[in-house]
Amino acid sequence: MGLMGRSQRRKPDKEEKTDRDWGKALLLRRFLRNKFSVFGSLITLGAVLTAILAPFLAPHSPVEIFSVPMSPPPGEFLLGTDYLGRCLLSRIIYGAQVSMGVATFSVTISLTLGIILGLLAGFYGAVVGSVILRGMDILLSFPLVILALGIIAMLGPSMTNLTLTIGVVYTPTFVRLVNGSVLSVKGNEYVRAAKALGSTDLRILVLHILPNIVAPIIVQASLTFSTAILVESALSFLGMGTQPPTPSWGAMISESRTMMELAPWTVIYPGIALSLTVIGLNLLGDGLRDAFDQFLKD
Amino acid sequence: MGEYFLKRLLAIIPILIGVTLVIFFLTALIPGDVVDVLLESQFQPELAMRLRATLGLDKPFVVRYWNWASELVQGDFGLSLINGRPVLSQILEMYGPSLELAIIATVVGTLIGIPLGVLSATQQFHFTDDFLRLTSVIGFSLPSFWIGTLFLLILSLYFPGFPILKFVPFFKDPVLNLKIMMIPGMTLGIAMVALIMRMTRSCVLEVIRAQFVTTARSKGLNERVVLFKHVLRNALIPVVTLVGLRFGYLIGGLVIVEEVFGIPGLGRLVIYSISKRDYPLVLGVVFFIALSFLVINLLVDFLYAVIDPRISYGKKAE
Repeated sequence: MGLMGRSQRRKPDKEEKTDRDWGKALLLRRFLRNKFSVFGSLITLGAVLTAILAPFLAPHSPVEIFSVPMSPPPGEFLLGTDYLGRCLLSRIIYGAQVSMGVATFSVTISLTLGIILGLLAGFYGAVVGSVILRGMDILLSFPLVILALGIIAMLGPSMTNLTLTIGVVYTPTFVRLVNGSVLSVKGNEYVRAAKALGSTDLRILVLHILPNIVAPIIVQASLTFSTAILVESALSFLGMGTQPPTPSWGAMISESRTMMELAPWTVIYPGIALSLTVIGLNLLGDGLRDAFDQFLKD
Repeated sequence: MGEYFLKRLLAIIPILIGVTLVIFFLTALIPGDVVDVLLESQFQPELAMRLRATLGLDKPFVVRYWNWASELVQGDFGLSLINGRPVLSQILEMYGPSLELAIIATVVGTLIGIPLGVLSATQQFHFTDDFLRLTSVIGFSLPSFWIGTLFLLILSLYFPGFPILKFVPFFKDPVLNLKIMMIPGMTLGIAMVALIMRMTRSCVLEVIRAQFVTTARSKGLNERVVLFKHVLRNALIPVVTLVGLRFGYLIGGLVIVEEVFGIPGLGRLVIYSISKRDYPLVLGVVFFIALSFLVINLLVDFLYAVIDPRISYGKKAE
């Protein structure tokens, strides 16, 4: 009520803008009221900061080998050292960089491809649309991990190729989502009005359609971000992703398996970092979805 | 409705053709080939050329695709290039353990996930619901390769005698087999529990607000009767779909769990065949997996229509 009162007190000529402000404030309030999403945002923020500030936070270099392999935590090394004698804490901190980096770039790829293809398919329907959508159906008829394994085998295992692969594999989800949303807003009056005014297709797509379908895309992107991190670590675990000595959480767990009875911490701590990050991102994504859902209902 | 499913069934054909093209294209582009793997240290250019000619690897892409696809249509998956055995029999051999794992995970997921989901929904706005919702997010966020590795760690540290990592076929010794498969099945099942719980919760919440539920309550029906006879019967229908669709997605999880626990299943066969560049095997396994994925999705849709009389496909908005 308080918010509404304030918006009514504004100057009438700015009515549209204040409406939007009011909406944003409401969205933010919904989001913040949910304690899980706040918790999730804090974890995510922590992970992002760790990734960015890794060089300042890590006590050692992630690849420097000390002459004390498998020294147990906590000692000279806070989380101990791994089977080669590298500082586990530093490797975990730099691992955040790999996870966040791969996820950011791969989600950007699927988002860009997905939005372009989805807009085209939804807006031009008929031939273009069905060609694009059938293509996506084919990609979706492979289980994700299998498709990713195939592409990685073709490109060769490396961090860049893994990023590209995850990006491609998640594109169909976005194409379908964007296509569906475009279909639902395409017939709206503002689109027809823009067309009647002689706007170009590009202008209509970018200025009129895209801003109105952005909510579900944001939610999907945040949820895909967490799965991208999981897939990155899983494929690195299988040896199909980040190559040693680059510290990826998945690869760290995989490498440490043979010695894990002697040094359990080398498989436990990277897994905790990974799980916590994914949990945080999923809580954040859930919170965003709930906030948007309620927002759209009102 | 029969017509709708016939249409769906026919629509699978172009998708399958696309699928085979994609797999064929990918395998053709994988650098290095089976000849390199076979000859390894005794690599001689001439020998390699002759071997490639015998295996038909020197022919153009289109010819190879045509040969493979025309044999596939007749049910012939070809022979493995590494050990010369028929691809189909290898797939069927490895199918059992994978299917068993998927079934264990689904059963665990359903038996634990549905009751917890119902509990969570009936306790909305209470601590129990908050707790269960958080548990569920944690459940599907945990990477299965890590959980599997932790299980192995615990077993090797505290239960050194526990049979694991030594696979025994089900029909050879069912009891021992189940004992071995239980932990991998549970590893795969954790995410299933979490997802089914979440889905059940939201479906129950949707139904619980429906007017017929209010009517049932206002008639003075016992809350238990309302829950079991009115709410659950309606809420669990979409859950069946989810369980079915997840069954297909489990295949991806299998690759990882089989690798962690050393179970000879389809997932390991995929990794093995790719690493050996054994094209007929790669093509066969991936085709087989994609086919079962499509068939399962179709069956789920069909099942959905059977259990929910309100759904009639093909007759939209009369």
